[in-house]
Amino acid sequence: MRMHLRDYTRAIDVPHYTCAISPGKHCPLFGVGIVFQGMAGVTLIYIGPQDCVYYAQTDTLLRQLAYVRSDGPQVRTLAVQLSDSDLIFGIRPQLEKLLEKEAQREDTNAVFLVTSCSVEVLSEDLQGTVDAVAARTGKKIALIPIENFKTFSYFEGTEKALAALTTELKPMPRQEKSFAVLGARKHGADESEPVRWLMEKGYTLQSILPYETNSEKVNHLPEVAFTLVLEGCGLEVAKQLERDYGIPYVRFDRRLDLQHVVQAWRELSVLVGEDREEWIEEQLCEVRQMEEVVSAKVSGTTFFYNQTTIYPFEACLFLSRLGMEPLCIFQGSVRDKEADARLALAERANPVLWQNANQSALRAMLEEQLPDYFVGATGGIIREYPVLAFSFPTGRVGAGFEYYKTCLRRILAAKKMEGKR
Amino acid sequence: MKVYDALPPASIRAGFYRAAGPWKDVAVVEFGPEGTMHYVQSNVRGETGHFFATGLKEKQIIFGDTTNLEQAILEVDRRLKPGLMIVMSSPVSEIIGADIRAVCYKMQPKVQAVLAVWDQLPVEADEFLGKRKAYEMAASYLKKIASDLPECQPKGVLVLGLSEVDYNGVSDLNEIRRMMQDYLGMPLLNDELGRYDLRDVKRARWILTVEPEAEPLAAAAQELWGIPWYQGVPYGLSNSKALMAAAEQATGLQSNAQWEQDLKEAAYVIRQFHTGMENRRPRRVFLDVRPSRMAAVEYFLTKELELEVTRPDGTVSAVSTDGAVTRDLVIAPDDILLASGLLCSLHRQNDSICLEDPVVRQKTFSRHLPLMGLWGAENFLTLFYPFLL
Repeated sequence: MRMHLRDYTRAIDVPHYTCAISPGKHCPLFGVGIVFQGMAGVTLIYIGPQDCVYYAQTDTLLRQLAYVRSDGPQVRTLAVQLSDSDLIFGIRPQLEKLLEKEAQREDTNAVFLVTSCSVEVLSEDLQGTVDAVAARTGKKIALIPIENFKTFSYFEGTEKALAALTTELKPMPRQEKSFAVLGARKHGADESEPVRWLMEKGYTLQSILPYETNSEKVNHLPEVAFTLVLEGCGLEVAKQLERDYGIPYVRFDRRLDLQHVVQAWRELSVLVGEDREEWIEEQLCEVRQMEEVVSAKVSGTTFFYNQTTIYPFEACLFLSRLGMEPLCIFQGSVRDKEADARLALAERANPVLWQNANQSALRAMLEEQLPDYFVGATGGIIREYPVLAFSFPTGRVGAGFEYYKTCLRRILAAKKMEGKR
Repeated sequence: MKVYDALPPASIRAGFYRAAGPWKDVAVVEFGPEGTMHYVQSNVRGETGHFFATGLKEKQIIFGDTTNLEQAILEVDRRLKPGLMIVMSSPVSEIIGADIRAVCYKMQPKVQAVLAVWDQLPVEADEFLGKRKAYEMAASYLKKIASDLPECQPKGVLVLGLSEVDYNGVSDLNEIRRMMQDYLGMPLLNDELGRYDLRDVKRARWILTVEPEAEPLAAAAQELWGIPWYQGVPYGLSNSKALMAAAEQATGLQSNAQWEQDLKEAAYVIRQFHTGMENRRPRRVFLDVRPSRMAAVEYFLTKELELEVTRPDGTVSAVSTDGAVTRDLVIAPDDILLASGLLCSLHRQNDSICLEDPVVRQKTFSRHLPLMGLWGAENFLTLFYPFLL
């Protein structure tokens, strides 16, 4: 059953091309693991059947070994593997004992209990257990419920973990010239356009959540003057920090919507107290010139979209405004936070939507209707088709006009695939 | 519940997938969420395009809807045309009690593949049971289709349990390939990555099972077609000699003079190692590899290299209710670790040689540096020299 853009209801309702999914999306447990790397003083407990806790724990340990830049103390992770009797008779007494023991460890400041599908299906009152132990021990103990079968992608695990991590922080006096970056999962945030400018202005980058932070920095988040949201998974935390501590935030996550890029820069200028209108106009002028060049090349062409970690409808609207027509959108792992881009795109085109681009889905769609351009990773079968291919940068975190212009350049630099078929 | 502060044991499903990785004419469909399958495919090295999940969603859990599973079976049959399609439960579908067996009974007439079901899995079981189960299912499949397979002449050696799925598996397999080819003139039936069709088991003249869990499949081949088989892990000279002797006995072939010459050369290299070790400070090796390989590696290290070897002890976690074992390892600062990549990385202060499952930071071995077989024994010494001499 096909869904076209104008029939869209929710991201999770967009169908898979196949019922046999291979490889599928990451589990949200993976999304949780991303957040806690480098968190000394924290105990992370994965609870579930043997499969889930083995994979989650392996991934967390490997992440500590491979990606964390510091050789210092790390998050303490426990894998709690459930038995038959646990699933039948419940786990509350043993779990309370475990949580208490962990909370009482001298070097433990907080304990996070992460559940999995099977535990959630059983509906045991784990929130009650967590609250009871937190009240007894006086330590921060939080539940991060994870249900793969209900989630759209692993980013929901990341968002839930970030929310759990940043609740119940103690209010602190404001450090006027400090800020934090929220939502950045990869390197490069410290070199992104808005961060570079702030640092030139003498601002201090307090932390990059979740990519480069630690328990101490998280505890001091209420000190920052404002936050910058560079990717969508940081938006809810930004809102939470504003609600709880009055910390304003600026959204640079809508990277392919020029109006929002301008708006973000204007909001940041106000927070810093420096008029940047002239510079913004210069940037806009340059961008428009580039857009004209790109548009002259791509206008009237068609494309398939398959970038997994960029807002899909916003990106397709960006391309549509350059004169390109989307034929097929594979959603990937990120969903647009607002409906405006989708609704605007739906007025211009009505592409078919699929959940994600596994090999068979991609091949079937390419066989059905060959687009002029393919937007996304160019490995695998895409090389077999005579299309022009490019991808927007996702390896480094980028933002602002700089990112927008880089994307325009990427379109111009599209490569022709070999097209053996 | 069992509590692990390091790595918990891999699950029975993980073992199953590792065993089924090299099978070219098999597909596996798991009635479960897609995240678990993503983890599986990250965990099993090499080709995993024949493993599928149905992407179990809330609707299926609430209403017990199996339409997606039925559709997935049809799609995989049409697209991959596997000889055998194994349909498995997931931890969630086990809890809701989905009747996968009934689904397969209904779907069998509609597909070309032989459908086999694996459900009601134990909640806790180790990966080795999963591997064994996979080979048992493969054996059942061969028995089912045996009468349909065409007659053929036995052609070469089939190696079970050594492939791209394993770290260094391709290197080790290629060394066995070299030994069989160079010394006995027998080719290997496995492709360059260790993969093979289950249907081709019948073409084997001799079967080597590097994993003991593969025994049911080898035994089925013997029962069906009289194919002799041998279980062994050829680490070191003695185990390599045993392998060659078994191959000679099973096939009636006689190894050539090159074998004797290479054997003498390897023995000489080991004697040189002993000479080099004289008057040197002895160092202990902390050995922690999978159980099926432990004895073979330990024999090589202790009896042939005359190194002192210690193994890990398990201790019961204080918070466990039913005797969970956690890795509370007593590793001396001077111990040389010969273990999984994770353990080596967790003890970075120790000298170490990763023998299984490397982590990202570790240099991966090339496809041409075997640790099994005759050349593997010599490579072991090359790796040890910097630590000992």
